[in-house]
Amino acid sequence: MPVIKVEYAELRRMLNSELSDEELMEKLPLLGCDIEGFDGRYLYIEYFPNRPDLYSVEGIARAYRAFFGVEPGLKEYRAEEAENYILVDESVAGVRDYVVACEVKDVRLSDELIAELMELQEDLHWALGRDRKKVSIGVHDSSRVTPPYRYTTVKPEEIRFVPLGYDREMTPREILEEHPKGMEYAHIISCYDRYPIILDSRNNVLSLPPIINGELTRVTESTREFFIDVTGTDLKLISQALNILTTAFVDRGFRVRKVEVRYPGRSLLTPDFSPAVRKLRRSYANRMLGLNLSGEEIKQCLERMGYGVEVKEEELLVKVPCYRCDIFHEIDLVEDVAIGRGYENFPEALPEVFTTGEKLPIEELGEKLRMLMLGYGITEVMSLMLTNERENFSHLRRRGSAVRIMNPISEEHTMVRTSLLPSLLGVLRLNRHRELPQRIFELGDVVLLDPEAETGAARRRRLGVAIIHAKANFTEARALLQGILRDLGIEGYQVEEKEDPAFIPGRCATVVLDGKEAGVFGEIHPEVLTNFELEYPVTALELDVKALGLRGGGC
Amino acid sequence: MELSKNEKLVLRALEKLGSASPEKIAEKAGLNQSAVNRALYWLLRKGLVEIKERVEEIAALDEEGELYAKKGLPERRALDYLRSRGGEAGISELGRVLEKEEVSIALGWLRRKGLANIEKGRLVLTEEGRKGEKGEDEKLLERLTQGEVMLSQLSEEERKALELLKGRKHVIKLGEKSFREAKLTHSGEALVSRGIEIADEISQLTPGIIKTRAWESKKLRRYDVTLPAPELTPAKLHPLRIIIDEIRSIFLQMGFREISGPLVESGFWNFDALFVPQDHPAREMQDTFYLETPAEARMPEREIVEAVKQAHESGAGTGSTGWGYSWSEEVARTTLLRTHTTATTIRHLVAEREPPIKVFCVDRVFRKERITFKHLPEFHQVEGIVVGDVSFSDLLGLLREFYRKMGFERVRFRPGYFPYTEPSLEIEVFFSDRGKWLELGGAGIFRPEVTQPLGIRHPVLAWGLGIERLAMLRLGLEDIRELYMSDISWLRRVRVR
Repeated sequence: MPVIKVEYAELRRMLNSELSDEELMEKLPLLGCDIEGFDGRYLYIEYFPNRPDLYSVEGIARAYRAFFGVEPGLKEYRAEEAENYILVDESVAGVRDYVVACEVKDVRLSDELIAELMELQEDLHWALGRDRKKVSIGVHDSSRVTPPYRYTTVKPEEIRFVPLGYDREMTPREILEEHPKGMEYAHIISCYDRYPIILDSRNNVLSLPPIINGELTRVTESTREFFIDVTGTDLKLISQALNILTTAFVDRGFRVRKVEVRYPGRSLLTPDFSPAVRKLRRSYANRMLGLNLSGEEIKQCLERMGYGVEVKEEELLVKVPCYRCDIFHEIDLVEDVAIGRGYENFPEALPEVFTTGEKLPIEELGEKLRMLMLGYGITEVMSLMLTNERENFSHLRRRGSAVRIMNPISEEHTMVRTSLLPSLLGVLRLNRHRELPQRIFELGDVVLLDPEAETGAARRRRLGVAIIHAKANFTEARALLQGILRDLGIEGYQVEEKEDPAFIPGRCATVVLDGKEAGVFGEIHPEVLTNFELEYPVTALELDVKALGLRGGGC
Repeated sequence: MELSKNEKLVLRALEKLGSASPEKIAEKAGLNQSAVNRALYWLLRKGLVEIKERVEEIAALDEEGELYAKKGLPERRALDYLRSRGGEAGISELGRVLEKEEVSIALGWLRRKGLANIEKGRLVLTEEGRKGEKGEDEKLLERLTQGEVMLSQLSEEERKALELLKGRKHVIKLGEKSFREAKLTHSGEALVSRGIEIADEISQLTPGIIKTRAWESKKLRRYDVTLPAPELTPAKLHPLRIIIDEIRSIFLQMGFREISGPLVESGFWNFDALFVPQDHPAREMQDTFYLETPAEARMPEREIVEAVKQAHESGAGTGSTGWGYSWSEEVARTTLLRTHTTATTIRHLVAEREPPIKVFCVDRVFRKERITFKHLPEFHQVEGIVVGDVSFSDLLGLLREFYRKMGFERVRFRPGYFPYTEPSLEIEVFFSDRGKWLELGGAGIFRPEVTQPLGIRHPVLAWGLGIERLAMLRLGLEDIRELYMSDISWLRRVRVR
């Protein structure tokens, strides 16, 4: 989530609030943000991804002026009538369908402001644009170009221009292959045989969206007017991005002028600052919040959140500011009523829903098994389920199939464990220099591929035990198994010899309950011990908890 | 001061010996050495003896030395041969009793020691040589076969002999060894000078003593009960487990039923059913573990899939605008390791639907995180939901109660953001030992775009938190990895509360 760097003095000036510094710091998070730090000059604030309108100091100041009651209600924004247009060529359809645009006059910039502007642009690309895929913004010094503008497409080699930060002309293809921004974002357009481009009336290139602007229209401290293009795949999103950007300009004292966007067969005037109107039922808000607010009280809450509100009988007509892009449903207004009221001002109640508590049978059985393990002097360990081929299979001289990760983050974690034994031996390895004997158990899950299961894999609860000391042997595991089964009241089981390469041949057995194998135990094979860097014998057992439960009357 | 019989015997021995090694004390006191060591340990703690480490230079046999000790020095073997030959022999004959490389060594030493001379190419014994007496160096060699010797204990002659032997290669090893010696302290001497009475005391009570009532005629020794005993450590539950069980118990007390669900999930249940759009950053490869095998999950019933599709595309008649994109079932079929327990919650809601529902889940989740002191790719989440005629005020009340039961008296709520809840909030609790507010969990009411398409008609209150973070704060850990290292010496000693 973006962390917004705000100059504290500037924020205070724009807020025009009488709150003390302390009160202000205390109250900022009440609108929904985390203060990450304050270095005396700059505040670092993290706002949520659903509120990109708070990604600039202007947007933040606007929200808190309403929130603190300095300037509650809907802030009206106006853009001047259009003088210029941008022509949209039909070839953009299917490549990058939409563009909106505007002109900005009376621009006054400092280096710092240019940096802030670029940061806001990048944050919007991230939050709304899915990293430029759905939205990308170009800000240009328009004194260098001549309207009207054109949004069209070109072949990769058809045109040459100097991209931002370079001093030589390149074709779009060269930019995608060589320019750092080109390489970073090439994947968005490289699959098309024509690339989107914005030109002026003399075929000067303003930008190759969503990759890079031309050097020609670079914004500097002496820039006095902007042309702004926002292109993308979703008209609503690019309009919201333009509104967030341009309302911030208005707040800074720049003049914003509309541009006519001429699509084939229709034309738009952008930016459109008119608020959307939504209905909010008073009863719905009160029911969801557990309150009994009057229409007037709800109105006050919403005005603190920057809405314009008209109270009807049982309904409120809510004007949603043009820069808000997170209002999908009536419930989103309800949340803002709650924030406007303050989460600290709710009558906290306990719900009147009567139910009885109930443990999962397998967990209940687990509690009993843990109690037994402690009684037998065995300490519980917990380990990660993520593992790798070598650890889970090869080290145990075993083979098998498993849930495998397509995009692992390291070679250590490429699959989910299919047995607890590797985990236990791993714990013994970590503790190989600690005092012996060591007796450990884990009550945990393994995951096995299972074509019958809805997601193709099933988790199994297992009890695993490993014991290491100079005289650890088969009898110890067998005695423990007998003890556990006796304690759970399980009778009539068979113990049969088993071939499992992880164990010494002839010192490995399986316990059979009702004709099904419910677990394996025995002395670990010396080669396995060496694989886990162990120098003392280990005796181990691994049981299926569910199988025990079925017979033990548990689950 | 209470002294055991053995301690008294040791004190007496020291009175006579002055400074002495445990071996000497054992001999004098008529005790075995481990009894002496134990007694010395306690006497040291009581301040009656002091123990000094003394470092001694020692000499021992090296490889060649061992060999010579067994076979004799080369010149000795040459000498013996010469004597058997009547006192003289040709030099080349020495090859019969010596290794090739030993011949010149033998010749050198025979002459150096004045035992033989070379006359006209033949080796002739001197007067001294004819006697054939053992040299000091040979005697020392013999002594060393009994074991190392301290240099400080050698006589003047032995020292000279050692110098001779040191002149040969690989015969002598020199080293250092430390020796312990005990002696009485001032208070020890004072005590001893007052006289030590050794009565036959009983320390360990035995069945025999009880049966024969021997304790009536002897003294049951008083122990110093203030002294610590050896460390004992029990088998324990893992500290993380203790916290998990504590949280389970809170939910159970509050009337919640425990549920669980698959670890391998479909995109559908992990994301789509929760109204998380298919191009949401959380769904990207850098945040979620996707699976190679199994490659695809089955979809639930048609109506459910259709309803979720509608919700994403156009709001499914909930009054929402939806996300406005074309939803893909193929993306929903992708398999992954679930990133939150909410996947299990939503499955359960679809199965149960009608209130009253109060369920909870404590279980593992997976995130594509590199392992650091702060992050693990898998951890435990706890999540609780309440379905019924409930509201945001109820949620706040529930949370206050839940966290109070966890031991947090000061709790505050802040607006938060989750893609599938509205309103959303973050829970902050005051940690008095750190003196600050820390975020510990999130909560909210499920969005109508989540519940309505799935046929859930009542508000769903939900909250959750990560358990490892709580565990670290409770256990005072700075590194999350320690929780899964299962260091046995940590587990043996970690406090259970």
